[in-house]
Amino acid sequence: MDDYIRIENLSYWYRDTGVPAVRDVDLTVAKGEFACILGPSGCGKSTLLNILSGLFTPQRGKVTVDQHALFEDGRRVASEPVACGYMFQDARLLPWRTVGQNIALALKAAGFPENTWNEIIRSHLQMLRLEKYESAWPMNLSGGQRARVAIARSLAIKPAFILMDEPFSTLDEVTGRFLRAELLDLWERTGVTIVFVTHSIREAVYLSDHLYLMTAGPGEVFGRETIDLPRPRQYEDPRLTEIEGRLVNTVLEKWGYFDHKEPM
Amino acid sequence: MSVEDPASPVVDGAPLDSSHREGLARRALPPVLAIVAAILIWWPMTVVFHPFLPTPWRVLTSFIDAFVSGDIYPHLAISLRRVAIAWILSTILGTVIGFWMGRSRFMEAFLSPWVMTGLALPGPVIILFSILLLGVQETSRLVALVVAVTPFVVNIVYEGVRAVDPGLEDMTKVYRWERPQQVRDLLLPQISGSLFAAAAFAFAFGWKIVLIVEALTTSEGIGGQLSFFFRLLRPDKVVAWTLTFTVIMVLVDQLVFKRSTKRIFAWRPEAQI
Repeated sequence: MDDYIRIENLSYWYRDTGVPAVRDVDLTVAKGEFACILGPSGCGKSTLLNILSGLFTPQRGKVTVDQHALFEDGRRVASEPVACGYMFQDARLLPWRTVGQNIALALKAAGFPENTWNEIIRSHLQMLRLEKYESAWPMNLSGGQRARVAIARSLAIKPAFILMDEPFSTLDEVTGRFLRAELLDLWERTGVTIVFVTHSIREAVYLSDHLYLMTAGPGEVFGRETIDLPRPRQYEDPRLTEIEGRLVNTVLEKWGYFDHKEPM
Repeated sequence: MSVEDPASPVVDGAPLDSSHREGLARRALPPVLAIVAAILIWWPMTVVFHPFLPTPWRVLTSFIDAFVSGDIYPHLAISLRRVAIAWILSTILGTVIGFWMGRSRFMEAFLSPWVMTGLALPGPVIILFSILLLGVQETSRLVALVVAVTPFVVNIVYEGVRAVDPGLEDMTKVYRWERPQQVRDLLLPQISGSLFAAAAFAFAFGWKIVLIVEALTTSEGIGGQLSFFFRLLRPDKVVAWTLTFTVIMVLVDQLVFKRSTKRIFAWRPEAQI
């Protein structure tokens, strides 16, 4: 298997408190794969994304993307930075810049020449059915529209991979469903590699090719599930429910749910 | 499209119709009533406090006289110059210090006691000490003004910098923004509100303090003349000159600060500042 993103023996602990966030994580993601990382709140899944995006430097372990090392044994390896798209839990758009300007700023920072911006912005807004909103202020958009702008921004910079940190968890159920389907459609059309973090088992099963299970914090990866259901998938598909049911049993033990039910 | 040109927002602009004009009349009514009420209260008071409180009529003639004779202009110019210099210096100084304090833990801990003390020091004390140390001269007046006003600017800017959204900053790091872009498109828009508030406050506070400085140290400038008229028992002139100065300062505040604030914050969904 061709390992596009490779994380080996990775550990990270918070510098000020020394509390470990993730421990001995091994993980590989193939090019063009939709990978989900499933773990309970506070298990360090966001930390993993922050390391992959270059925000945090891990104290131990190795991270390579497309055979370029990013981190090696606690050091940031000085090589050409890998362009990465990131969707946070909230859209994180600059409210004082229009939708188009928000994307333009990402393009500018990614080094795209200015005369290409217009075309890239237009095509990506079109892809996400946002072409009407190019000059709108983010605060005048709905939550779902803002999330779509954030998707457009992360795709526009032609990233090596896109990281998503529970991007739909703050949206209402119906909007969330639409966006998940839309995201899968975009993923198939663009062939981009996506690492998607969630605590929702159903969401992870519905979206992913491979699914990594993490323990409660400090997070360790304890399982890798391959979801080989054909696409396009239906969110209500009984086969998804079946896999979900099986995973719930595996996961609840590890997430310490039964600890709280000890007899008095 | 370029980042430098702010495109006009898509906002459903309601046309200016008759209901808007009615709304304007309704909005104008309370301030007009306030002025009428002030005069209605003023007039009987002139009887109670006779002869120390002048009638509105007497003040009006002094007011016109000050402008027709030209007496007020040189003093007005002197005071305005002092306000302007103190305003510029304390705004720049306070912004730099406040920004630094907001971004550096060390500077925050180091400067906090200084700023606290500066905020608590009464204006007249600063003025008296400035004169004791530097003598009666223009520099000591300006130093007193700057020392009195700057801590407030520092405080407002510092609070603004502290309120910068760390989430948005992370976003700009992930997308590998360079420093100048970060300052211009991320930091400045977030702290521009407090920068404006700080500048407006420095101005409003500066012109109040300048009158005290002048009254205590000189006969030049509006404040100096006020204390001169006070000693001559000319309350009509005191009121007339004070009104002139106050009206000019309020106009500057409303026209310069309030207007540009509205323009700059057009992106806010409810731009009611």
